[in-house]
Amino acid sequence: MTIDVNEINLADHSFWRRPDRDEGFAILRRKRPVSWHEFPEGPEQGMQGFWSVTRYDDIVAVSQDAKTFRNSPTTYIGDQSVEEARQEGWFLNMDAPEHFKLRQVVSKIFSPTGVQTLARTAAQHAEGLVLAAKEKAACDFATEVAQPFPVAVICDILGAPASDRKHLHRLTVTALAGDAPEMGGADKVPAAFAELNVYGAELSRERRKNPKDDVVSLFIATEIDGRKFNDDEVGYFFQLLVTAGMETTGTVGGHMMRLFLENPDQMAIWAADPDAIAQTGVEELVRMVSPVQHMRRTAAANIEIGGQQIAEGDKVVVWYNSGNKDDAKFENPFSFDVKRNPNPHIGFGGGGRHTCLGAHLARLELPMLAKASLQHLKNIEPAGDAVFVPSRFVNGLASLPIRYTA
Amino acid sequence: MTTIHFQSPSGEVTTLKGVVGQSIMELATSNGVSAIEADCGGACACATCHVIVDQSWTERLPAPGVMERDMLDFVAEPTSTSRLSCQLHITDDHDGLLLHLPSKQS
Repeated sequence: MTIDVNEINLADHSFWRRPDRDEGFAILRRKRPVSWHEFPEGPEQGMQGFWSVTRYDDIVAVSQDAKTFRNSPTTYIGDQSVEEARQEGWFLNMDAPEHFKLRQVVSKIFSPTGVQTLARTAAQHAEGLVLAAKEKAACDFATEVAQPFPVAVICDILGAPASDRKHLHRLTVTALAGDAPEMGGADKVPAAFAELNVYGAELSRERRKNPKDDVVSLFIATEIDGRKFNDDEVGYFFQLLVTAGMETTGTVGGHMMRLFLENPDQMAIWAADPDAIAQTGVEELVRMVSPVQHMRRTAAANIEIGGQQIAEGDKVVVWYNSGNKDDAKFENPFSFDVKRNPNPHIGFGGGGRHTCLGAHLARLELPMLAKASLQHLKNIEPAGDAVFVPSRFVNGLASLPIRYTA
Repeated sequence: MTTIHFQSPSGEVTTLKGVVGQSIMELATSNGVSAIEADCGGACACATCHVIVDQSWTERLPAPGVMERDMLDFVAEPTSTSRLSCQLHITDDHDGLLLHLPSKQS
């Protein structure tokens, strides 16, 4: 099927249900690399449309010029007040210097050395989930293994009890994938963010009374410019880390197994020496999956991108999923090659101050999941159809039934 | 191999051999230069891999790009020759490069 470039509307839900949407992006890169889109339906109808940037080099240029392409008022593709943006994205939706000060509060925890302190318990979670699945000879790898794994890790970091993990994950999926009608719909998104904020604020009140060695207690103790955070602000921190830490890595973990099943040669390479392949393998997973498909910036000045004139105040949306498949940057971009090197993918963002805070945690977690799965599950094969989440924001995988032998 | 010198505020010099293409930050962190913290691991998102280029070398390094200039606003003790070492990639021309380490990164 050939897609007419004039028929591609990235704001239209029907585009995200198409199995050939990678081809749609390839056509945009080739014929209209910076294109205009408007919301045709639903609660976002009438909101300001947006420019879509689809070529790798243009996405990187926008991402790295944080003074011209701002994260405020919001990175949400629709319209939102500054206050709503603060409550849903916290410092993600801010610019310098506030963004830098708030990100710095957690940057040591998520640094390459900081995440190493989580390695032992994270490996135990991966091993435990895979061994529980192994007993059953079949499972839904997406919902029973890949998704619960980062949920457990981030809840440990934040100090949320194990009994609340499923609830927090459910809210996160609605918050991030709710733009898809099948996942709740755009009008359900604000309530999901709000409930996560309230949960975080309540945890903050509890930790004020009984401090523990967790990140929420750290937020409470932190002072910036002579002021400490109130419970609502601790709640926003909590919510940002929960949403960012659960959905993305869970999504890549699910797709990892799908990619293994579709590319048995690559699964065999990984299984033969999981530790040796981890470094290039995880980068290739993130490139192939692009778990967060876009972010929005707002132009702070009149400027040209890829030959297209952009006006001050216009929304500029960068599509990481597209840049990661750009054949001007990657040889055989649709091939899953766990040894791909170099691999300058933009699955964690296009560089600069808003680069994914949790990138090093994901780099720690995903090889653990791969290793445990390939070590304990043998003769893995599909046991039903994979169910994709038709969201424009996250590249979700709702279900991946598999069977295997011990 | 290219020789790079790191001088601490107290004058102590650490000399390392790097390979072409490697970032100065990677060379420093993989050899225990603890004054280079590099919290973001090289994404130019944290401003904790700050180095101060010796005056004798400033003309011989490429100018910082837009992303590096943006993050240099946030180094703890900026100077006119401040750079982020994750954005400095070693070339053959860097043999003997002298970098001063700041007293703090954040």
